[in-house]
Amino acid sequence: MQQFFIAIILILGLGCWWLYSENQTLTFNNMQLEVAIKQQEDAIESIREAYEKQGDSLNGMINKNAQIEAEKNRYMDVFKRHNLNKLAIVKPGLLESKVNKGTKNVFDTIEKDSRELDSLDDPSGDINPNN
Amino acid sequence: MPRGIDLNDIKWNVISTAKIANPCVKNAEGSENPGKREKLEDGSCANGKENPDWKEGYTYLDRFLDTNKKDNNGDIVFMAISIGDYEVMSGNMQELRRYIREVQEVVVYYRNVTINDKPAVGAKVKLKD
Repeated sequence: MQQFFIAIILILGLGCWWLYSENQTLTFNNMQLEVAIKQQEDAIESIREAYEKQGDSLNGMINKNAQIEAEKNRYMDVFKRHNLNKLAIVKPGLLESKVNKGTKNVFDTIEKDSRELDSLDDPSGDINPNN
Repeated sequence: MPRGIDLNDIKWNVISTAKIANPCVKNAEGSENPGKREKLEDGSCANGKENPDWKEGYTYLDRFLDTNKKDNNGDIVFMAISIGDYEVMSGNMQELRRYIREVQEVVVYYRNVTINDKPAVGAKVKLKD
């Protein structure tokens, strides 16, 4: 009878030890999975933020390009609205000053545009300070 | 980024056969009518013209040719462009400017989406058996 109890206690002891070690493994795995879930959530959040940022930047670029295109068309519209040939025949002096002023203005804006581009790789600089 | 663009100014001369005004010289201070461009009875200027060396009907073309001759030791040499071609060239300049600005916007776009961004990395999990 005594031997039977000893065997039962031994079996129960071994069972407890096995359950304890299983529990330890499962606790460790649970922790690992929690960490993995956290990492995945962070990664998803990071991807979502990057996606939103990309979308916003893309929209900004499209809007800006439309404005640039419109500005070019506005400049070109001047030639449609005015007959420069007639003006040059009648008042060449007036046209000359306008043409020289306009050319200087275009050159200046091109220089300014290129300087803005040049400043983009300056980490402390503002992106597109004039926009 | 490359160095910014440096452009030198140019001067356009707009030339036509329109006559240039050559008014009479004003009366001197202290005269009877100071500041008046006085004319004689025959219509000629009492004090002469402001540009006496200009012949009657002196045009913008004449002035340009005279200046050009003087600048080139008696020769006339210049490059000319018609009004139509000037319009084309202006359009081309605007098109170049548009391109530069749009490329700039692309650079800004890439800068915005690549700098100060959190790296999106996948999670690595190693479980015990």
